Amino acid sequence: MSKLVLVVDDEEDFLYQIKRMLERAGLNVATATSGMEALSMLKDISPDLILLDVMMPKMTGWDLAKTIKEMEGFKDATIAMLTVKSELEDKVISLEDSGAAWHITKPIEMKKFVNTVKWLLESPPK
Amino acid sequence: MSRAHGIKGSDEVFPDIGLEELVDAIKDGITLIDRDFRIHYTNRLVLDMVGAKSQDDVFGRKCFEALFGRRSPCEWCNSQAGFETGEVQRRLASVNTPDGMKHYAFSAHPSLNGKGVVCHAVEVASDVTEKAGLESTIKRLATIANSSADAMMCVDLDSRFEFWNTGAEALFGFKRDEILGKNFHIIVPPELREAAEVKRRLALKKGFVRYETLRLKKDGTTVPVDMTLTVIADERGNPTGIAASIKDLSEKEMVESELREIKNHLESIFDTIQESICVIDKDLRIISFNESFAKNTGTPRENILGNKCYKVLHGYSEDEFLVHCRKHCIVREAFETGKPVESVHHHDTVEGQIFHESRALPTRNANGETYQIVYGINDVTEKKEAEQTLRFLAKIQGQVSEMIVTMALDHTLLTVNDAAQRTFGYSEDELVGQNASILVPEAEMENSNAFWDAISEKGFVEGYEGMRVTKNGRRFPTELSGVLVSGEGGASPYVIGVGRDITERKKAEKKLRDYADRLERSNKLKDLFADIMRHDLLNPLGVVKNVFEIIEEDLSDRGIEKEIAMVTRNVAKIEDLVHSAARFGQVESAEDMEFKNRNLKEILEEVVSGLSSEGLKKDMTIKIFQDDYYAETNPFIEDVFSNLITNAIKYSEAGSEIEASCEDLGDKLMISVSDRGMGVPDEHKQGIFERFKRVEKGSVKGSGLGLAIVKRVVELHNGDVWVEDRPDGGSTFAFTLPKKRDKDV
Repeated sequence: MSKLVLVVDDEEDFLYQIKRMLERAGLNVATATSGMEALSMLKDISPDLILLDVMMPKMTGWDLAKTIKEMEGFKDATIAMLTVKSELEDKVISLEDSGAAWHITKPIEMKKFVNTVKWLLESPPK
Repeated sequence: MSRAHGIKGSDEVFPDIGLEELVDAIKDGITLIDRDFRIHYTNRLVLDMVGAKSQDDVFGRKCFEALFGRRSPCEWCNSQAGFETGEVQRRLASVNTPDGMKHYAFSAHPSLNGKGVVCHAVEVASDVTEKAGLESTIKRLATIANSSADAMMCVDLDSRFEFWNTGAEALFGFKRDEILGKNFHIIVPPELREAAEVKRRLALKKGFVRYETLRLKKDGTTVPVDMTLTVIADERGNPTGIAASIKDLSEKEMVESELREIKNHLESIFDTIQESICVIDKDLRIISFNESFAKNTGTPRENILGNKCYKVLHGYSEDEFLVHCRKHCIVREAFETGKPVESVHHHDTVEGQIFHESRALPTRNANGETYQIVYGINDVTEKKEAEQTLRFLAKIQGQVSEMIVTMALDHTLLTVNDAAQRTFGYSEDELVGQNASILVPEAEMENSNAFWDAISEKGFVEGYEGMRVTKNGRRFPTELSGVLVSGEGGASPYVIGVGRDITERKKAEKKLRDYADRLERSNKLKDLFADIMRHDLLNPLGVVKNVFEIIEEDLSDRGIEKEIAMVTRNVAKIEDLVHSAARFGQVESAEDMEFKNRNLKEILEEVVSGLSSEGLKKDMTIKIFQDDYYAETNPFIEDVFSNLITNAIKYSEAGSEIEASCEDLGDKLMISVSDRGMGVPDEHKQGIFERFKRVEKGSVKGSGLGLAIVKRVVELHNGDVWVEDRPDGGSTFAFTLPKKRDKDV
């Protein structure tokens, strides 16, 4: 049974790229283009890893992460931020405030990114 | 005479040898006292002095009480000191006695008893009253006689001068020293000597003679005199000499002395005048001059009087005088025309140009002939300088672009220069006399008052800015300076105002402000742009690259390998360019990055190990230094190493060697990276570090920003960077890094 990764990003091309990359690596991928869409999807699915863009309209990835963590059954969900935000403070917000397990900086290089995702799925940092 | 009577209990002092009579015969007063000032003995003179009849009247009484009627020892007492020191004491004192004030010379002679103790003192008093009186009288008379303007002299019985006063010196011309001891005939004309002898004898006989006669002066001329001869006699009435008082009767002498007085008076006035004045006679000789003249010509006084004016004034010889003074001499002109002549001329001196104003005033005698010239010279250098300065200032006032006005303290305009007239559009006549407020717009009045307040408070204003209004109503900004000038010599104080139309400057300032705003906007834009490049540009590029990588496999075996490689290569190029441009933007604004002591070897090792596969593909040998070198650096130092190494790889032949070395220069390190590449032509060695330059466009891959980043980072570390040729081909890029960060730099 292959693992399921939910990717949330308002940029569809980017989403498509991620989807293709991860599918090539043998993973199942669900995508959402907004926080609301993601939340609604989470009623039906339980992804093994959730990748969130930070800068999205209406709800930021950080807020979304916090909301997900508060949802029933998602307390221990593995969430990673996937963002252009690269400053130290951004990473701190991701890991400390929003409860994400990891912070991946865009742009991504395919091999490195796929390796990181695999690592997060196998032994996510707590 | 009973000895016991006189010297009770004093046998050891006065042995019985009839001394008493001897002591009585002495003209000095003698008193013997003991240490308690009790009188043991006095001689006759003392008894007489105090009006005592016998020794009994004074014996045993205190000396000061018995002799002087005092209650305590006399302040002039010698005996006290005599008792204390055992030595003879002397002192002069005046004592009030029944016969009036007497002068005594007291001396106290202490006497020792057999045991060597001072037990008595013999006080000896000599009456010097008469002597002292005579001496003081003589002194007084001599003083009077000496200082008298009348000629006074004394001759002894042998007719030789014993006394010769100042008046006599003045009248006869003989000095005291040369005439004392000479026969009085020396001042008598030979033909009158017999008559003089007769008068002398008559005087001796009668005691007093007065007559008129002639006397002979040292210079051989005679002088009519009034003679008074008085015989000088001793106390017994025997003549010892003759005193003569001589009065000069010559009218000429009288007139002369009067004239002399007037002349002295005039001369003293003459001398206090600052103007240099001399009187020149027809022979052009200076016959009189004042202090100022002597001072200003710098000639010793004795070299002025009687000398030719041209010699004294100009130092000319007679020949030079003929050449130089013929035409210009105002003294000659005054002599010739008989009219006053004036001239102003200047001399060049070592201290600069000095200006003289000279005047020649002819003096005429009773016949109307000019016989002398009063020549005056005034140093008017200061005046001339002031005039020149004034002219200069006036000229400046007219020419300067600044508006210059002077105003009275009630704001009345006194002067306005050309620039002010031009700017305000008023003529001078329209402005002078007006209140300066006509140049100030209504709305600016308060501001204008601030100017005047500052003037009256501090005496000056600088950099005051305000609006002013022209005749036709144009308002313009001005910058004003003002200074209060205190009036000199009773003149009223006034204010000088200097103003500038700063419309242009204001425009420029606005431009500058606009520019700064734009710059700030563009800076923000730059930051935004860097941000865009880092994220928004790289992100889609990443998508392109990744998606292309995904589909690359699907496209294989279709004969488009070349095209695929081209896309891959150019995407990498864009990526590299965007990366380094973004990096450059970061470095540019990295002034306050944290500096830490870092080991350069470790940094370099990390850089080399992280090199892109491209560098390794070329199979390069990279030799790096093996010792630890520390310097305070910021994290961007990595970019220096990586850019230099990457460049070296790029520009070198595959398989060649790159060497990085480090040298300790004391307070700094020098790091060099050498390659065996194509080298850098001399004309590019400078420009290679500038932004966006490459040796040959397109010849080598690269952003062109790598070396600009290197330069910027090295500069942030206060180091230098340069490139030089290696002797056997290739280049060495070297840079220095101070070991310690100097915060002041």
